[in-house]
Order: sequence, then structure tokens, then C-alpha cells
Amino acid sequence: MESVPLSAYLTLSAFLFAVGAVGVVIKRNPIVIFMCIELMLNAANLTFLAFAKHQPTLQAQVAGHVFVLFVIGVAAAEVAVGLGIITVMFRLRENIDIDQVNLMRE
Amino acid sequence: MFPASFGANSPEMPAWVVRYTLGRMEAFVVPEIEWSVMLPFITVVATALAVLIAEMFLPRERHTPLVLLGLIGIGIAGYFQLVNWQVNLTTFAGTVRADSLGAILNLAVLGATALTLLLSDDYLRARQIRYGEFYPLLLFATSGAMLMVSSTNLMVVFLGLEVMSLALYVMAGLARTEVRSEESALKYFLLGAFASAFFLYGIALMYGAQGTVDLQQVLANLAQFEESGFSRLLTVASLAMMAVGLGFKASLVPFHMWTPDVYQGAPTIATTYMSAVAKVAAFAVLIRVVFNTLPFMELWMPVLWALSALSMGVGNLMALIQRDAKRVLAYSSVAHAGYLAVGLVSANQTGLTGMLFYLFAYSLMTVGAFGVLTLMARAGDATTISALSGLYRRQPFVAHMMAILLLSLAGIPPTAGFWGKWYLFLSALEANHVWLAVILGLTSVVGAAYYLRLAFSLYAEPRETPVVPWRVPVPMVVCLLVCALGLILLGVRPAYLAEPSAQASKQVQIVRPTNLSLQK
Repeated sequence: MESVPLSAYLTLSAFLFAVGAVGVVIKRNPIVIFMCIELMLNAANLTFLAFAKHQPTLQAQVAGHVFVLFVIGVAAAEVAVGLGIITVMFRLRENIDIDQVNLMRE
Repeated sequence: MFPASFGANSPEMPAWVVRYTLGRMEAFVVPEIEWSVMLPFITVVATALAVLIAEMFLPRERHTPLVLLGLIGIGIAGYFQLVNWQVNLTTFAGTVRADSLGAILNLAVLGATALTLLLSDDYLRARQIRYGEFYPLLLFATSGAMLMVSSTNLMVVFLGLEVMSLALYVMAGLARTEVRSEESALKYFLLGAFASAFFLYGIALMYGAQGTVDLQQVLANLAQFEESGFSRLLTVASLAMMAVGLGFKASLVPFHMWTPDVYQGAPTIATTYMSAVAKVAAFAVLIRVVFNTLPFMELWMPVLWALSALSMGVGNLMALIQRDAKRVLAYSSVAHAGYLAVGLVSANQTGLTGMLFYLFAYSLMTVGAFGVLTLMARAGDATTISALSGLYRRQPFVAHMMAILLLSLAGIPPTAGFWGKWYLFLSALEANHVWLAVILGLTSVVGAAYYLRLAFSLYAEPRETPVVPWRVPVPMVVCLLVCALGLILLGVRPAYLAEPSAQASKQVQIVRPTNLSLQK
């Protein structure tokens, strides 16, 4: 039954997390940056679930599962607020390139 | 319905439970819940909901009842917190940690919220951003901060962090017709969510390494010390990730880049609030994490040392060259994060006492100082230092109060700011971090330069027509009196706060790595 080893899950999630983190740094469109952040959150979720599978007690397993459910909820709330902010920004200046967000740089 | 506890083979377990759990249920324990320690939190959430509902029924322009309702709720919550400040227990199945440390920091959070509420009505009216949603958002952010302060379970901490942060993002973008406010909200949101992802990944690794997300159990595991190299590696990686996430929230260098821009662009009332509450909450979590992973302190220490020293240096030096008062205070908040982190590096009772004292005093200082800047609301938040000069001519009272706050921020003796720095200085010496203590002393001198420059400009001849109004709103007078007199009282009688802080720090278990060497 133990077909996919833990290390494979961990490698994949670390890779996803790295892709997300690099994306946040190099991308210039806030929506794409936001997608990269979601990727990072999902990498964390995958890590939780992979580890949960290998916990000895039911309580410890469920702790990981429940955490993932909460993270999904939190991510949804983040989408609501984040897209709201991006929309307002777009209404104000019709250009949401991150490089243009520099009013306060002196 | 169920007996309080039953084992796997006990006859009381219903058949469906066995079926549903595939017989793997070791012990199902109905958690014992101590409601009284959660009353402050419950009161704040109930108040937020009440304000949200009341806001719907009030005319758009009337905010006074909302402020009053909020203040009453905060007052009740503060009363509940004061009544059981000497508790020391873990309840709600280990998700809530009620101790004196949490109580002191919760009181700081509640105090900062109440003072912000006092200032908010006049500010929002002057800026013409009359959104009643501000008040429930403020209270929800407070509830999130309280969750962060009073839990050692990283799941609850993460939820609290997100509840607080999401409300703060919206508050930063409250002036939605102003590009500057939206820019700050966008920046805060993107970088904040980025940091949260790091924090979350750190928690996931901790869960993998220790099989739990409860920091108290982590400490118990570490103290037993049956660790494989793999789980040790995971724990180290987890701590590094969490340091990134929390360093961002506490605005420690090099994760401070957002602080000046967000503080400057956000409506000043939101800045007032976040500078105090977000800092207290972030440091509460840092305290919980660091003191529950002390066996790893050998690895933590150089990282925290560097973060602390860099924050003190960069924060103070950058503050010297700013021309905007909000940016000066933003960099000063970076510097203060550095001072506070000294207590984390030394990781002893004195350091903990100093951090608690300083966090409480810092809330008063920063709320008061940014509160004075809300006077500039009518000029659209033009908060250049020259706009503040000559404040004394128009508003002698406000100028005096601001001078006291600035002296306290600089750490000049008859104020609380001095004692906070003094305890942290002592703790660094006690832990043999002489160089860190020296850096703390030297950077404080640099800091005094720009605080005093700001203070002198208040009394100087105005260089341009000051934008300060002729009349000060009564709530601001109350707020400034509370902050300034509180700081002087704590400066003259530091024991009023230092003794409770010392008591609280004694509740925290300090497990030194000396007797359980990490090299195996």
C-alpha cells in the first residue's frame, strides 16, 4: 500500500514552494504574484498532508488534516481581500504593474 | 451525551464511533473548557459583531455611538483580563494558553485599540473617509491579535495572524479614492501574504518534525531528546521559515522594506493602530516560539543576534535621513523591533521582563506619537517634519505631550522608554552578549538625535504655514494625556509594570540547552 514515499511528496512540495517564492520575486503583475503566493500555500498544504499520513496516532493525523482545512479557508479569505485591493487599484490608475507602485519612494 | 473519556475497548464506546474511526480511536476526551480565561476574547468578538450590526442601522455620518460601543466593549474585555491576569493554565484542548505574559500583552493590545478608537472619529471626519466599517475591522483585528497572544498552538496562532492581517490590509486601503493609500494596501497585502506563506510552511515542517503543532508539546519532545537527524533538520528549517514570516510581521531588518511605505501611505489612524498592535502580537508569537524551542538556541542565537543588530542599526540610521514624520516613526519602529529582539537573543528572565515592559510602554509611545500626526488629517496627511514645526505656537498642549512621547521613544530617563531599554541592556549583559549591549547603547544615541531634532522643531519658528488646526478634539486630549502621563508614571515608578512583568516571566519555563547537548 505504501507506494509513494514521503520524500517524493516533500520534494514536490518544496519545489512548488520554491516556484511560488521565485515567482513572487520576479513577476510584475500583482495577480500573478498572488497566484504564486497561493502556490506557496498549497505547497504547505501538501507538506501537511504528506506528514499527516505518517503520524502514529489518529489525533496527530487529524491535526494535520484540520490544519489544511483551515488554510483553505484562510486562502479564500485572502483572495476576497486581495482581489478587492487589486480591483480598487485598477480603477484608480488602470495600470497595476508593480513597478508603477512607487509613489512613496523618495 | 458521551462520558468524559473512554478508552478504545471500553464498553461505553458506541458502535458507530468504532466503525467511523476504523477502531483506531485511542482515547476520545471531551476537552475541559475554562470559559473564564476566554472572556476577554469573546467580549471583543461580540463587540465587533454588535458594532457591525449597529453600523447598518445608523446614518452614514454618525459614528459616535459606534465609538462608544467599541470603548465599552474594550473596557469590559480589559476588566475580564485584569481580573484573571494571574492565571496559568492551558485549556480548550491545549489551544489556548492563559498566562500572565498573555494577560499583559493582551492589555497592551486592548489599550492601544481603545486609544485608537478615541482618535478615529475625528480623523475619519477630517479626512472625509466616513466608512463605519472601520470600527468592526479594528475590533476584529484586535481579536486576531489576542488570539496570537494567547495561544501556543500554531494553528490558532496562524488563524489569529490571518484574522489580524486581513483586517489590517483593508484598513490600510480604507481611503479608497487615494492612490497612495491603495498602494500601501497592495504592498502590505502582497508582502504580508508572502510572509504568511513562509510562516505556514515553517509550521508544516514543524508538524512533520515533531508530530504536533503545539509549541508546548514541541518543547516537551525536545527536552526528552529522542531525535533523529532528519527531524532535527526539519526543525531547523522550520525555525528558519518561521523567523522569516515573523520577522516580516515584526518588521525586523532585512524584512522591514514594507514598513516605511505602508506606514506612510496608509491613513494615519490605521498606521497608529498597526504600529502598536501588530508589533505586540508578532513579538508575542516570537516569544512563544523562541522560548519553546530553547534547546535549539545555539542555532537560533546567531540569526536573532544579526536580525536584532541590523534592525537597530539600519532603523536608526535610515530614520536620520527621512523628511516625512511618518517615515521617521516607521524607521523608528524598525529600530524598536531591534531593541525588543535583544530580549529574545539573551533569552533569560530579565530579557523577557524587559520585552514585556517595553512592548507595553512602546504601545503607549507609538499610539501617542502617531496620534499627534492624525492632526494633519485636514491637509490630506501632509506629514513632513516642516509641517510639524511651530506646533507649539498653535497647540502648546499637544506640543508638550508630543515632546514627552518623543523623549520616551528616545529613552531619556524620567520616562518609561528608558527603563525598557535599561532592562534589555541588563539582560544582554547577563547573557554575556556584551557587543549587542554596546550596539543597543550606541544606536540609542543615534536615535536620540532624530527624536530630539523632531522635538526641537515643535518649538521652533514655523518655516511654512502650519497645517495644524487651531482646535484639538477632546478625545485626542484624553488619549495624549493617558499616553504621556502613563509613560511618566512608569518612568518614575517602573515597578508598577516591571513587577507584574517579572512575575509573568517567571511562569515561562526556561530550558537551557546546556544539560541537553545537541551534538549527539
